[in-house]
Order: sequence, then structure tokens, then C-alpha cells
Amino acid sequence: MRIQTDHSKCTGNGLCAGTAPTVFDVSEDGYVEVLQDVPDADLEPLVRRAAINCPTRAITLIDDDQ
Amino acid sequence: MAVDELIDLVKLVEPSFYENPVPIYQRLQQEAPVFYYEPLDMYVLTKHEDIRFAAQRKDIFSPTGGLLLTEIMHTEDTPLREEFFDPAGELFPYTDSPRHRQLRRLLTPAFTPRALATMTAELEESCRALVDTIDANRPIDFVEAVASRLPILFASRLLGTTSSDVTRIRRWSDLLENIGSGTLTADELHDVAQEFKEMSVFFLSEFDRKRQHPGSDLMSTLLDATLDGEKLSEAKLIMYCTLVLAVGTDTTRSLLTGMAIALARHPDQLAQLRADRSLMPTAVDEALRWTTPARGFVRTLLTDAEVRGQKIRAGQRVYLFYAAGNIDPDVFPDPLTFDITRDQDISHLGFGFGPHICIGAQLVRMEAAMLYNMLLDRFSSWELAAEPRRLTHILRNGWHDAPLVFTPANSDTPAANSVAAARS
Repeated sequence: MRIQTDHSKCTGNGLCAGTAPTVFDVSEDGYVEVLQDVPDADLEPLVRRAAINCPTRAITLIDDDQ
Repeated sequence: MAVDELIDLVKLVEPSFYENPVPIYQRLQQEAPVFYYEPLDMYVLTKHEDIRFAAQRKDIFSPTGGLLLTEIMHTEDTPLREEFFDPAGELFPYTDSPRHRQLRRLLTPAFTPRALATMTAELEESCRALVDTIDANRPIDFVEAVASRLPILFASRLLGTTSSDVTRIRRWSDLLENIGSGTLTADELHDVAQEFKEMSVFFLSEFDRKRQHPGSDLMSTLLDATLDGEKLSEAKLIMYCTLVLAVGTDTTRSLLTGMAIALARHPDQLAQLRADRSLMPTAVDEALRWTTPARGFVRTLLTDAEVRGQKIRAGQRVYLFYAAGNIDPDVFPDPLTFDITRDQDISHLGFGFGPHICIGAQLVRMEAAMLYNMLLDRFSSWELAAEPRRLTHILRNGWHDAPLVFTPANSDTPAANSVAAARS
């Protein structure tokens, strides 16, 4: 799974960072920062949760078979 | 014929409707998930999926036509907002993008997990001081003693205001909240406007103080910020500070109270949480779902659109009924059951959704977790001493009081906090 983020949608709320703090952070300029753009397999459920619950749909997940 | 009956039962602008609304929420979801509420030319959305859709599609659904049911009720009167807020302040919850984004971005850096982490020690100090005031083994009013105070202490720390003003701030936040209650008379509303003028005077003197002695707090950050190439005007500074101080206090008060009540009513889960603090984040989110402090907000359509097959015209409204969405069985199986272990894969609507999602969400989660970890360290359990009194308020689900008796922890029922800390 690969993570893509869209800064034009991101509003820096940090919900993703709250859900998966080893994968997402909010940088000083107020946008999502991806710490592991191909996350470890055991983190995938939390990454999916972060993507589903991003309020502005700024996180897209590209599954390995796509 | 069931839908005809619903028309008689859905009394959105009567505060008494909210004494027992859950059966109506369920009927709406089952029989009329996009329900036309004729008195306000508004479609009531009760399905979690539809509420998320409308909250996130800012290109269609706008807050510029009003957010509160009480605002859209009073169409003949002066719009309530102008009575309290200088329009030059540009209340960002009422704006659309791109302006909304520009305005909101001046605040968001203060609410990120990273920023909040820098405040942990200070916030713990405030929280611990408050928990220290709780007398065990006798009834105390949790609302008065704890839940109404902690959000103001936290917001004050965040902003950098002096803590001795907590009493005044509490009055202002209560008054701001009453705008959405549906129970105020026109005279009372004018009194509220007067109090707001006093609050503006307070903030202006705070700004002067901060200019002399800037810190790392949010007020100092705002005094230094630029928008449209300029420093922020007084109207905007007052807007931001008012929102931070007032909007999050009553709602968070409801959440903290609701969580205390829910755990008191489910002592097995209280014990489970006490023994396993890794459950705290899901317990807080379940309390948010369970309490839904802000029941819902309005949007006005910018273009014609369709929700679940129902065509809605530009200029008509929708109601994002979070309180109903939070008991949608398609998202939350067995939705009326309070369950601190509930799967959180699809989040509740307690903070809303979309670009206007509660800016304080991460602060609130941190605050509730901090308080309840301290309470569960200090006390082995608590019980209701009497039935809590519900508020009569269209927007806010909350309580006037919550009489609780706290039982102090002793060596027979050790808290798990040190174990949890070692594990993390």
C-alpha cells in the first residue's frame, strides 16, 4: 500500500497524526507529512482508518495490486 | 401513513423535543432518511453516510446561510450574528473556501498533536489541580466542580489569558451558547449582546498585555500573524479569541460530564478502563458518540443537488443531524449500547466532518484522556448520587448538574497506570 496526500485539500487538523502517529504528522507549515509512504503491513489498518476519517479526503491509498 | 405521523413528531425547534428524541431519530433513519422539514424548507439528514457527504461537499453545502436552527428560525429579525460579532471579524465557521481555509489556517497550527504535546506539562498541572479539589465519599456536582472548569482552564492556557478570569470567561461562554438554545427572549438576547461588549473590552486589554510581553501562546501567535498582507485587525483578533474561548467550553463540558455519567452507569466498563488504559482513546471516542454535545448544524445549498435520490434545490437547506448519525446502525452495530471497546474504524460525528470539522478535536481528545486517566488513578470508581438534570437546549446535549460520589483508590484496587506507562 502506498500513501498519497493532497495538500490542496489538507487543512492540517491532525486527525491522521492522532490515529497513526508513526505514519502521519502535521508539519510546521500546517500540512500533513507522511513519515512512511509505504507503511509497514501491521500499520495498514490504522492507515486505512486515518484515510477513511480524514475530514477533507486528503489521503488516498494506492493498494499494491493497482 | 408513517411519514405523515413523522411530520407531527419531528419538532426540531422545540427544546422539549430533545427530552426523548431517539425513537424519532430511528424512525427518520428507517422511514425518511432525507426528511423534508417544511417550517424551515430544510431536509433533515439522519444517516451517517449522508451527513458525511453533505459535510464534506463544501462546493454544494455552505454554512454562509446560517449554522444554528435558531438562526434560520428568526428570518424577520436582525441576523443574530451581527448583534454579537462585528462582521469585519469574519467568523470563519460561517465562511466558504477559499476564505474559510485562509482564516482557519491561522489557528490550526496551535491544535495539532505536535503543538499540543508542547503544552502537556502545563495542561497536566491545571488538570491535576482540579482533580485535587474533588472530595471523595460525598456527593459533588461534577459539572460545577470539574466539567465546567477544565475546558476553560485549557482554553485559557492555550490562548495565554490569565487564569484568574475563569469565572468571567465561563459566564461569557454560557451566554454565547445560549444563542443556540431556543429558550432566550429578545430582551435576554440583548443582554447577551451587552456581555459580549464587555468580553471584547477584556480581550483588547489582554492584547495590550501580550504586546508588551509576548509568549508562545496562541494570542501572541495571532498578534504576530498576517492575513491579506497585514497584521490582524482588532475585530479579527476578538473573533478568534472569542471562538477559542467560548465555542469549545460548553461542548467539552458536555462531553466530560457525559463520559462521567456513562461510566457511572456502566461500572463494569469503568473497571475495565481503569485496569486497561490502552482503551482510553476508544473510550473517549465512544463517549463523544454517546454524548454528541452539538446535536447538528445547518447548511444551505449553493447549487441543486441530490442526496440519497432526493433532489434538493439551491437555496434550500439541510440539517446535518449528528446526534442521529451517531446512532446509525449501519455504522455502529447495536448503536444504543455504550461500549468503550467499540470499533472506531469509521469515526463518529461528534466533531462533525468536512472542512468545518471541530478545530479542537485533538485538544478535546487529549483533555478527556488526561482527566479520566487522573480520575481513574485517584479513584477506584464513582457513582451517581441522583439523576443528573438534562439541559433544555436545541443545540447542546448536556446537563445542569451531575451529582457523583467518588470512591478513593486504595491498595486493594490498584490503578494500572504505572503498568500501562511501562508498556507504552
